Amino acid sequence: MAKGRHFTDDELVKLIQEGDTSGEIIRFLYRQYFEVLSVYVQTNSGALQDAEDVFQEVVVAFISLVQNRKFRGESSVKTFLYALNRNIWLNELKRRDRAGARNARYVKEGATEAPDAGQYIADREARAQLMKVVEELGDSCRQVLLLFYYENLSMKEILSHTRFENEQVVRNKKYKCLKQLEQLIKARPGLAQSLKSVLLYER
Amino acid sequence: MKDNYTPELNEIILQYLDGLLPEKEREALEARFRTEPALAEELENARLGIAAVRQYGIYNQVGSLHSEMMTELQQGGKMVSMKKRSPFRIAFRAAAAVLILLAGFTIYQYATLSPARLFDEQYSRFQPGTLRSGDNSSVIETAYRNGNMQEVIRFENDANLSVRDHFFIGQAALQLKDAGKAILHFTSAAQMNKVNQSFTYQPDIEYYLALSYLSNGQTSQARDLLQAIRSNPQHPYNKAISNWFWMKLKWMND
Repeated sequence: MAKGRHFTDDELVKLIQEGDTSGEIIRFLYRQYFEVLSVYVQTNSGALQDAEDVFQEVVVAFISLVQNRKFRGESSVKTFLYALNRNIWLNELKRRDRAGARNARYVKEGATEAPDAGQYIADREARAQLMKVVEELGDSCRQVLLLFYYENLSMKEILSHTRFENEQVVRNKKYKCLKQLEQLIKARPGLAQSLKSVLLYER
Repeated sequence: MKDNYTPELNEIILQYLDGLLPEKEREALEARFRTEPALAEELENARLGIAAVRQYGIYNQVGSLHSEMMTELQQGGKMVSMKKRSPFRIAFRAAAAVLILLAGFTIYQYATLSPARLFDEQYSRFQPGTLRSGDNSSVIETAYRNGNMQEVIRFENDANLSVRDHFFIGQAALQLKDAGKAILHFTSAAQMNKVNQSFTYQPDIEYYLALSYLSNGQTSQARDLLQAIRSNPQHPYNKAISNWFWMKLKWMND
């Protein structure tokens, strides 16, 4: 198995907060934490496939929460990931209607290590809808918006990635696509409200 | 509400969010956000859209690497499927572990076996019984009872040694780790018993002679004597020879 670069907790958090979500960081998270987190899922009514799916969500949640300054460094990254993993899985079990003892256990265990993650985890359905909405934008819109807002490229750099004539055209495209996205979100009842609590954190 | 705001204003909101507005314009817009709820809502919608794009980006990037990492981890043996085990399988594995441990222990015992080691495991100092009134112990026996083995050995070449004298000298020699001398005196004691048709310390002579042979590396002689003791349930030392000790003695090469 490839080793890759090792990151300390501080390095990891700093880079993610600066907007670095390179493949190197994501690979590190998988190599370092998947095995230990998967044991929890598999020893709590889950299969290996469940552990894989949950871990993918854990990584997404972790990056999102760190970028939004919701990881306060009061615990180690490992502890935080473990809490996310546990809470996402318990939430999934609840969803699968194996409530019973799980419900009581979920309430009992709580999410003390990741209090701000609770709302993020709870609105899983909203996040799933979000993915569909962005998919509806179409490739061209999605590409421009991701290049600007996710990869933080300048207009000039986006121009080199696309077939637009000039920067102003790119700028106009970005504006129109974002407005289109806003309309798509508004068109889904309840989604906008759910996403607000999940995605919009106080800065 | 949307119709009150021109596309230009909406674009200005985007420029505000992108950090592109000059300071004065930014401050003016922020003042309007505070006083115009509808404009604040437009701002909120735009922020939501941008946040949605970023969230999608994270999902997309993690998702694109997920399969690659699962394959890598599987090949690296980091993907352990913990299937539920039946009680039978658990018991079987436990039993197998015990057997392996036992086999390992047995192999270790065999590999480290030696006459000297076997002697050390088996030997314990002979404790003479309490003297009854009227019994007279010799100087040699008295020295042995007092734990003075060197004093006992001093008499080894004396003439007219009795069976008891030879026996205690043999015991002292064994304690002083002189197995050859012990064999000599135990054998003398046994021969005197035979000639005199006496039975003085005879069972003890047989047992400690066997141990002396063992200490001296004469395994087959030791084995023969101990076999006779094991075959006689009435022998006082019959139970002193455990099955485990006997098995190890049989393993020994001559």
